[in-house]
Amino acid sequence: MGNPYEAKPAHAFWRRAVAQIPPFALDPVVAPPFTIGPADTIATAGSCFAQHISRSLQSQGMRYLVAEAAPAGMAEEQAHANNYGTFSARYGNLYTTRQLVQLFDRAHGAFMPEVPAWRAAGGGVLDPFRPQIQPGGFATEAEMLADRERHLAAVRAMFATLTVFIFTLGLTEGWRHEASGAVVPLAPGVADDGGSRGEFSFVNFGFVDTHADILAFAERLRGVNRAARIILTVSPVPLIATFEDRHVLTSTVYSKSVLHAACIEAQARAPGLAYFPSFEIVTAPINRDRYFEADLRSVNQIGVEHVMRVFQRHFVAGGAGEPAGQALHLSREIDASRHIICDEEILDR
Amino acid sequence: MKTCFLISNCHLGGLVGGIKFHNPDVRLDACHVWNLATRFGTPEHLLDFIRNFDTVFTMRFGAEFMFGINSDVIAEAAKETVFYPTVNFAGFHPDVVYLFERDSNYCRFVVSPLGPFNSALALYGFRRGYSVERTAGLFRGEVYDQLGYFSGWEEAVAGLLADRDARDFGFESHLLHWLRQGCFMYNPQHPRLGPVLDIAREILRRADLAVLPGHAEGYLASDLVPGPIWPVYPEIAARFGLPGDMVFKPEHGGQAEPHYHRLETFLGKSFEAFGRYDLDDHPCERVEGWLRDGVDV
Repeated sequence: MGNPYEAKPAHAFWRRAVAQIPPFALDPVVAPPFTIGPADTIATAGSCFAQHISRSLQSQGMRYLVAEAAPAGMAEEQAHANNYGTFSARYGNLYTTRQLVQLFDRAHGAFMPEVPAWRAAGGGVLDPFRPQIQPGGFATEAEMLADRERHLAAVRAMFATLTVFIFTLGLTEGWRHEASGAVVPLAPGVADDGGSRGEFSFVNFGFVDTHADILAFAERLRGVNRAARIILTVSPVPLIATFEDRHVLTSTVYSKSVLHAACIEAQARAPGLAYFPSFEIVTAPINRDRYFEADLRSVNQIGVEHVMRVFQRHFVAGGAGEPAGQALHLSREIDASRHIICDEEILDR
Repeated sequence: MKTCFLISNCHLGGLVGGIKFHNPDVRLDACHVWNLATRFGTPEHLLDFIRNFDTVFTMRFGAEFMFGINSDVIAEAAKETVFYPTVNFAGFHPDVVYLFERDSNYCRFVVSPLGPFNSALALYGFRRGYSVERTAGLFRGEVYDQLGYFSGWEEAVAGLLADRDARDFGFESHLLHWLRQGCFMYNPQHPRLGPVLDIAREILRRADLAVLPGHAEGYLASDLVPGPIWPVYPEIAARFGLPGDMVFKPEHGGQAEPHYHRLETFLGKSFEAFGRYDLDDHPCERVEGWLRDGVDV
């Protein structure tokens, strides 16, 4: 009687699935629970890495939902500067799962925290929930609140219309408004004048909170949109800084471990929820640091392309992602080229 | 102390360096396969010379290189022979083609700015009567996809491993190691130093010679850098998780300064080269196929 691993497929073995394949062929996706078809409408949100996914999906001509479009007449450049189209709605980066749940609840009137507006150093009014969404801030608080209302209406529409929601989990560390419990994407004083710093405290969401947030969000989304499916992925981008009293590398590994474990556990519990391994592709030892820029944080375009190639292969219906076109009969050419001798040899003939 | 004679192609410099680095006691003589004729004059002189050595290290080669004798004849004359593989790998450079003169037994070919290596896309543009500028516009991902440039990897790997010496020397596992270092070829014929040093170490093992420890890559420089360097086009490089380039470097010998051709310069010089030859007499099966099949890019 053999050992219980004998019947396992190749992807279950490190040697066959990682160590003995070319780095560019790394493909850790196994049996995704659903695929995306041409009729699907995709929305995205999450950390910085989610922007790569957003851009890539749009460039591939998939039906990408922009629920909060730039006002008519706004020049493309200005719309871009004001973060229209960066994600499906103008929420900026959602780094933590708690932000995601609270965004959903705020959009649906289930959570209405009273968080005073922030002030930019130049005097503009900032929305604490998306402090970098409007360069320089809004002219008045009323203008900011009106824009927020439009934004939350767009978010509502987005959750109701999308068929696939791709969320990139970035961080577990965040900042929470003590009085209301609202979580904001940036520490007070980073993008604003720091005047409200005393009202916020540091929070680091552990596995239990993160896992519960994912399940809560999935349940809420299906509550307004039965057909919606969710793809979760963990950003490979390390923390730029940690507020914990420990090394930033240790905090990075902690955060990514929590996010990763929470996704995997949630996938087993929530219907219509899939996990896509961006983190694994970019950070696998087989790829060393080749998918990072010199800062060892930013993921380069080559890494993004590997991630999206694997995504397309497994999650896009009919998108095998494999090359087509003319057959290239290299064998004959390789055979012939064995007879080639080099230039210095030509000189000697 | 063993005396050894090495016969090689353009891997020669790296092999000599690697063997001497890892076993300085080996008394090594070496000769480029194409220089055998000028050095020894007759087959008899060569075979007599070989009999003086304990071991001959040789790549396999055909009779066209010297006096009509091949590597098997060398092996028969030698006391001991270690056949070793060479690294010939087209996977990074699927655009490279060779334009041999008909019936020349591979001895004469169109010499481009990068020697025997020609661009199939450049030839296609030339044959279609395109300008250099229009031909330059063919060097992009959509065209590579249409022409199958993204699908040649497996065949290139199969081509590398088709050689039994390559399999014996463990190229299959070496290949993964080389790949992790990045692009391991300067062009389809010229490997970077790492693969050549791996061959050198294996040659020593097969000759029951010690391989002294040391990181040879830190002490030796490749003598193939002055040779032609064909870029890995960015869209193709991205498929391999590597940074790409569009800089074509011709061979530069002696004290000459290297030149680096950007795409349009390279194409202009390639067109000049094509114009100097009777292309009907230097057929390129691949490009002829595209033209025959009405491929329109």
